[in-house]
Amino acid sequence: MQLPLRYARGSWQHWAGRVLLFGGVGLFMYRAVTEWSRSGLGLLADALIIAIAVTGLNLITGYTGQLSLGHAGFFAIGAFVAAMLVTGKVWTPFLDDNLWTPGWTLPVVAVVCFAVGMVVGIPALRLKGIYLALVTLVFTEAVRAFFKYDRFEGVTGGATGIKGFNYLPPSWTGLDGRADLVKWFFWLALGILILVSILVSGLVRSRIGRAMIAVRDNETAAAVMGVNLFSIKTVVFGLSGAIAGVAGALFALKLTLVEADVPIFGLFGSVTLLVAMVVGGAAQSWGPLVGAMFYVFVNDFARSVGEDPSNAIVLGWFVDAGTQLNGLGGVVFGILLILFARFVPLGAVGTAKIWRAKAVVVVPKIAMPAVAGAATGAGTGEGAGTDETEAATIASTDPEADEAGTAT
Amino acid sequence: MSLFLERMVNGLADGSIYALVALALVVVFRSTGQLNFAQGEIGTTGAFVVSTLTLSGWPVWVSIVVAMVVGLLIAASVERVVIRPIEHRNPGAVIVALIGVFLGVNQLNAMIWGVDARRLPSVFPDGADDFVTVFGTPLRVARLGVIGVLVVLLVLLFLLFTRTKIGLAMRAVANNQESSNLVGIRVGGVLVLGWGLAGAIGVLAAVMLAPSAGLSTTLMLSPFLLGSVAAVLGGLDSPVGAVVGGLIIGVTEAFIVGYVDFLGADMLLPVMLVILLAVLLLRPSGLFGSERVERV
Amino acid sequence: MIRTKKLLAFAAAGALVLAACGDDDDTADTTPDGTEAPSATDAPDTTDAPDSTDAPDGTDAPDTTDDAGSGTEFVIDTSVCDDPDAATAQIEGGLTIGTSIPLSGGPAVLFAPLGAGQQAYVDWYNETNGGLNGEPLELIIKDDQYTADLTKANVDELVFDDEVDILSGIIGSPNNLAVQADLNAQCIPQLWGATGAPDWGNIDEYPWTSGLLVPYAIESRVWAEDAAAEGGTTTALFYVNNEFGQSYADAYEELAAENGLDIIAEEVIDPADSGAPSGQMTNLVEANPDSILAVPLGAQCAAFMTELGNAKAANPDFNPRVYVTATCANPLFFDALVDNGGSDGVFTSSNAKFATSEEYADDEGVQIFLEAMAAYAPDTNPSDQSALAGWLSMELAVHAAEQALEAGDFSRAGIMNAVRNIDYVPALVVDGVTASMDAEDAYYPEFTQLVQWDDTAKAFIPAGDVVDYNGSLGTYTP
Repeated sequence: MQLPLRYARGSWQHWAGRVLLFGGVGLFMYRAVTEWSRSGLGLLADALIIAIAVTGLNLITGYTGQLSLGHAGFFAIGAFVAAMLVTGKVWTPFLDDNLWTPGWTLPVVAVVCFAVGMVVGIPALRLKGIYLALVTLVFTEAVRAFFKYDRFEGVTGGATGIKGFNYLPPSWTGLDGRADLVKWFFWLALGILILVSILVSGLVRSRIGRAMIAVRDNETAAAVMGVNLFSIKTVVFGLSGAIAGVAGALFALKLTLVEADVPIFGLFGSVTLLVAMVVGGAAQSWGPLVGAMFYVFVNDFARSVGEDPSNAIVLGWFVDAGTQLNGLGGVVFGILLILFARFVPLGAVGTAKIWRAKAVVVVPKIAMPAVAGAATGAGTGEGAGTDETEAATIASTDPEADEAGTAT
Repeated sequence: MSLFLERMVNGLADGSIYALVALALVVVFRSTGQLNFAQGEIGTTGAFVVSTLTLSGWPVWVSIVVAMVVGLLIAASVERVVIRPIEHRNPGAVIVALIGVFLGVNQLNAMIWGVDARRLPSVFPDGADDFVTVFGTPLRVARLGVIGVLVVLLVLLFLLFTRTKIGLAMRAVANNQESSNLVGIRVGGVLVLGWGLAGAIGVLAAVMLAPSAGLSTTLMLSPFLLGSVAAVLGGLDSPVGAVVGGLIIGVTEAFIVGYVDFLGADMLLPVMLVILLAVLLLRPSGLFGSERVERV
Repeated sequence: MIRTKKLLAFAAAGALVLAACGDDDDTADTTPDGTEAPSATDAPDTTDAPDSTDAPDGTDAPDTTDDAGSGTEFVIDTSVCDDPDAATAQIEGGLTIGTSIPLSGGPAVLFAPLGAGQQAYVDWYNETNGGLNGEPLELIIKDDQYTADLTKANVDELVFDDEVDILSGIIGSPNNLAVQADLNAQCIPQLWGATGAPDWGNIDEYPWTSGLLVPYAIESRVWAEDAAAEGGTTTALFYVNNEFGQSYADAYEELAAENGLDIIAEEVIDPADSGAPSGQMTNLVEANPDSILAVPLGAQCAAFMTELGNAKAANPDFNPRVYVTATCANPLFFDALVDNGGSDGVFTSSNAKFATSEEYADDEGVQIFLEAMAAYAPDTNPSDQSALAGWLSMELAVHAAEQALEAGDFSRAGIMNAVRNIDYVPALVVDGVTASMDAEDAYYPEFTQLVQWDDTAKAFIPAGDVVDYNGSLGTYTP
């Protein structure tokens, strides 16, 4: 048998591969919710919430090539708007006491963050690369400062933030109030993540998606080909912000409080999301989930290394054995990130695909020689050596193949 | 008038710190096109080195020189050991690696030097009475000294870039790596040197800041943020721009605190966002940056 | 096929929105509110508890008596717990204590000495007393990087995986708030949170939570009263713009008004700002108030006092009475970090002894603390008052456990009853105070002492008697 094996799209082997992948992930989630302890499930729910935000970031940075460090800003806006609505700080004509049901805040948050995202998208028309990244970073920190500004304290809670709200599972879920809170957020985050992923992969393979990828790969050429840069950038920034905002709202509802100094609402949060996106694999549909899980669970592992005083041994004779080493957890996580960047530069999903393509390639049903050749090229060693842009281009110019590739 | 002068000098002194950070970022950006997220933390390490040396009796200025060499070595090895091995300098992977370095160095500082804040002696006279009175305004010698350090560094950098072979090679590599390689410049060495130079400048920023603020592992977090904003404001490839950008931010900060009643020091970043947008929408490469398309 | 997917997506979206929005009653906080009238049947064995008068409780009026133990005894209601039996079950073997504090991650790591103090106490206790209930105490410290969502994850791990009996000494207001509702529903004691926010007195909704630090309102009262007593009429505020600083500022504004002080300047500093607050100081000099309350954090304490020293030297007319908050009451910030005399004469307050001060060199409690720190946490500076706070958070928790054991109810509920009715002054807090809680007094440390830094003697000199407002804050209703 000659490697790589070639299967046509839509063939039974292709479908079997997809079923295996989705079934495997489904089984994992099922086992998590039935067998994991509450703490593990809580971490997984956190990872899913971050994965939603990373899905949003992936849309603008991964697929459209606009480096954004502004997504913690959208995350924060989502969190604060949700908190403001459920605690009745925003006047609403049709509600007693202005108190919103937590679930209904999500669509509102999406609309608000979409609007803000469109505005943030406007500078992206002129700014590129690090310039755009820094401007969006200042946006994030400006949002944080805005929520702390004492003149708006009545609405935003100011520096003390907003506390004392809750999102207990509705009765129809059959979940048992507070005891099943973590399960409820797990299901909620999983549902929204699935929804958002379907939305994004649908978008990416639509006309808009092709325009996005064109803008990323060569903006000038895209404009020449008739892509409306203004609408693409503002609309995609808006969508991307809306998704991150919904994640922020979930984060706040799970945490039961918002406070502008919570690190994820600032520079740290933007960096977290970017790291999760790159680690999972930019412009990969499974990237956000993998990256977010890496971030949450590996960070948890690193912290647990630092928590154990017997690990003070790493500093040898400099400290007494059994001393709590402050910062050891951070050092471990930092080193893991450096190693990851060195050995898995295309991200987990991107690199996995290259390896997978050495064994199995999915070809379109009506094999057009040129496309089949490109797909094979990506998979056979040659692809491993190309830089990210090229690999991503090959992978993404044919999004169907992209999706199928992961699935097989 | 006297208040205005005092605020102006304070603003320029704070701005000089941001300018130094921005200069370091610009030197790295010109050599390898990256934003060095770990810049500030390497500076903090240098400040801790100064602290250790002065505690064991070394003169402050000697300690600073030694610390700058340490900063140079750390930054150079980050380029050589962490960044260069990454295949094709994949931009996403480089960002992740640099964030790893940031976290690692920051936490290593805490592990080695502990978490308690300490005092760092100033190289300038810094007692309560060390001020000069100009037009009836008391101006602190140490503040003026920081501004002076920035000016001297600018002159030295200018001489380095225009009057030495190494400087010429650095400019050539910044301009075009392939051609530089062809004319026999050891590009790898020049890149390492660029990062090292930036590391040394970063240490200078930290040891100028620490005496007035107290030295702890968090020393450079906010100056790094403002320094990178300064670099973008002035143009990422322009040393002059970095300095101008830094000074603009410092003075803006001082004037917001001093003259705008309804905004406090905490509202600097929203104001900076407005300034940044106003400048960059007119000049997308910053005030002094050259108009070239950067891909990330 | 694409069309089908789109349809599916919309259907899923609709379903999800409906699902999420189905119930109208989720908004309100539905945590147990049971303790207004604790039923006698639920009361565990409390015969040993001091002074159990049968006064009717449930009144929210603050208890203004200063005498210890005169209030009504608090009896925790376990019937509203997720698992009432677990809350009253006797703890087998040794006591496991959990805590979540920052050990890594950026600025957070500055709070880490608190953990060293906690560990030192537990190690010392095990060494000296051979443990509690026949087995050594176990302390599990988790790292939350000062991030509230990680605190939540850690507490879940501590409760469900490590199965700790009690939690004590979690740092930070948002961090404690994030786990408060869960822990109160699970009926796990959340003891001695290292923060001074008013929320820890909400005994009706959250009886399982108690705070360690002097509430901001008590400290603010001490300063406002002192400033007014010294004949001041104008005052100014300098505070860090975060939850901590804002709560302080709010409390001080109220008490300044009560004492007839006019706040003529308010300056803020960002919590992340590591520069000197020179611009803010220029404004304070310009306003020239009679007194200034400064609420900085960490190294900002020292930076503020350094600027103060510079400003005083350059402006001879500028000589306000300056107070900095108890979080700065650390010889480290006053001595080693300020060398221009700026800290000389600055007031602060503390309810704990200064372990490295000569004044307490012969104090037995302080000696034990210093020896234990040297033995079990040699890398931590014992003059850092946060190490001492960590020690106290464990000492008070273990004291409550001892009381519960003595009373014959060594369960979570028993420990919580011991905490809520505590009447115990640790050796490390200032002498001559009453430190107690009961059904009408939900705050433990309501005492403090004004001290003034003497830069020649390099020590804090008491600047007034210990003020003891025990019981004055009563309980808290948001």
